[in-house]
Amino acid sequence: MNAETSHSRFAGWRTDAVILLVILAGWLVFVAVVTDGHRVILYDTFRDMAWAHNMLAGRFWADPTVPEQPFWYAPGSPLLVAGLAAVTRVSVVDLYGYSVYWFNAWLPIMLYLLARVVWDRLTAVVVLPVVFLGSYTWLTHVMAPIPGLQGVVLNLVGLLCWNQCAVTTGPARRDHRRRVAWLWPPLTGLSLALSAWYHPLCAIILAGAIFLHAVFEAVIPAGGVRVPGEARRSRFTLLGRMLVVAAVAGGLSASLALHMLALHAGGSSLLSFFADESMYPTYYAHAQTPLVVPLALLGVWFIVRRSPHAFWIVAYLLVGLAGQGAAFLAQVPGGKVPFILPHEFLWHGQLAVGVCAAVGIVGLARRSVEHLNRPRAGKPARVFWAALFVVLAVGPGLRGLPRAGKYLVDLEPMLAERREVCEWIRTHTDLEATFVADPEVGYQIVAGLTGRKCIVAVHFHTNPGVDVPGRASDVSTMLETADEQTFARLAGHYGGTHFLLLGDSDVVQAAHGRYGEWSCLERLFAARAGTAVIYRIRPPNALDAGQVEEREGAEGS
Amino acid sequence: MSRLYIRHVSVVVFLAAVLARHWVPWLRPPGDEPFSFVVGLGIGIGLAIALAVYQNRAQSAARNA
Repeated sequence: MNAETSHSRFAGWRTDAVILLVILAGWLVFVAVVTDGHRVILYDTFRDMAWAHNMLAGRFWADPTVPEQPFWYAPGSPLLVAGLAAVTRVSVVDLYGYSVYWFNAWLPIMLYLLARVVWDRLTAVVVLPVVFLGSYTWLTHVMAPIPGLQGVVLNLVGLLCWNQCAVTTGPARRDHRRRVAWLWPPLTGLSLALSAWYHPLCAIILAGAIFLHAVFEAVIPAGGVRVPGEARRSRFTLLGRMLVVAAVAGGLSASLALHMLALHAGGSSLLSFFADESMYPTYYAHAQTPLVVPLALLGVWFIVRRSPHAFWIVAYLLVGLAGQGAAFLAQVPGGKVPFILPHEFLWHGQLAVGVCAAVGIVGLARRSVEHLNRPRAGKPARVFWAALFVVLAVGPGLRGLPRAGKYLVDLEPMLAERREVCEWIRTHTDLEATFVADPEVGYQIVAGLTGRKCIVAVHFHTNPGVDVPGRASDVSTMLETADEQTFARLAGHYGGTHFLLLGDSDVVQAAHGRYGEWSCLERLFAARAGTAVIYRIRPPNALDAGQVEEREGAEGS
Repeated sequence: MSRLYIRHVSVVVFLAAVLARHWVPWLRPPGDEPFSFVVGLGIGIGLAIALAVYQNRAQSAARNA
């Protein structure tokens, strides 16, 4: 490589560095405008915040919400936040509240880098509006600070590594790339394993795409392109590399996989959660930006024609569609098909649709310039046509911008209103304190904001290993009963140590009037505004052995 | 070759009609039927792949001949 070549190569990457800085600045402004500078989370984030509080205190491998249960969710996100909290001394709540700035920013950055490495700079620029504005699903979820969304960053890293596995096997390989070809399969495996620890379904989708691509390459090498003199051994090279990926990823994530399989073996209702929005055409069919879909089909054609080593993105799209298809089929009368979390397949599928559409737009722009017999117009003409197609395809999606933050939960009002009670809980109870509280209060305030335990949280965020309806029914009984013995017996059965009463001041004061005479409760704290009271629960005198056995039997089953 | 293109164009038009039902509110069937959209898109992807592979093979054969 001579000095001039080296200079121009670095000059190219300097341009990319500038573009990345512009992307980052644009992201920060976008988030600041949508969130008004407030700390925001998704409803699901309380679950991860609870575990991060526990990990920060050294309590790693147990359910952070329900006492004496094993962990049931992937630990990657809380582990990362707890580690950062330990290093930076920033609170878990602040780290999660601002993670849309410091973590979700990696989504556009990694997407740009992936498209830049695999295709070209124009495609890398085009892909951002097509994915994040062209898909209403992505527009309303890109700021979600939850593992299922943030784990997409790791999938993009995995796809980049896998692309390098593929590009060094086909006829398009280059010598300097082949020298480090052995490195990419283990790196892909590592990315896949990290993805699994962050969010298992992300890893399942990535693994599915890698498998499909390897099989496609074995059946139709290089998308049917035959180069004279080219050895046919590459037909199975990618399958071999896939096995290395599987071995590395499997070895690094086997313990998590076995734990999760054991936990969900009985058919957990958590996995069959079906978000209503998945059924709306605005989400599943790009109904606001329909041109994106035919452009994606064109992109698939361009990929197989021009860059068949990048077939993994088509495979990723097919896996996303398959996951959605199974769930949609199960909604049809008589369609008994197993499915898991279709809304997550929707996110990944639409990401791939957007990437394919970007490839289609840039390919169409190139064809347009060629068709008009103006090859000398070169790059500016291509950029013009690409910009025109982006405006046509994505422009209607701008209508959705005001709703970009529709799923975000603004933490500021809650933190301001509940500061006093949260501080009391943090300073006066240990991490194992178990609260009797309404499931919603237990999930958000007790577990999410302080890391303490509750008898039951809301349904889809409680350990699937416990009898959630049974516990919810018992907590409801405890909150409503006027009989002290019933309350004490149930609280004793679940090991409740504290009772948190939270609500409007008149409701809380009325309830306090009832509990003031109970000998099993001792008032420890009352918020100045009268909106919260905490009692210590004295150990019960006796338990109803029959009911205890009955409940234990139900949880065991 | 031209016959192949005509067939493809016919299928693409049919496919576009299937998909467009989900984009135009007054064409949308009761219950939305998202499954039909997924199937339609899957068929579209399959056709795009098949056409590209066919063209790649034809082009390679012509070049190598």
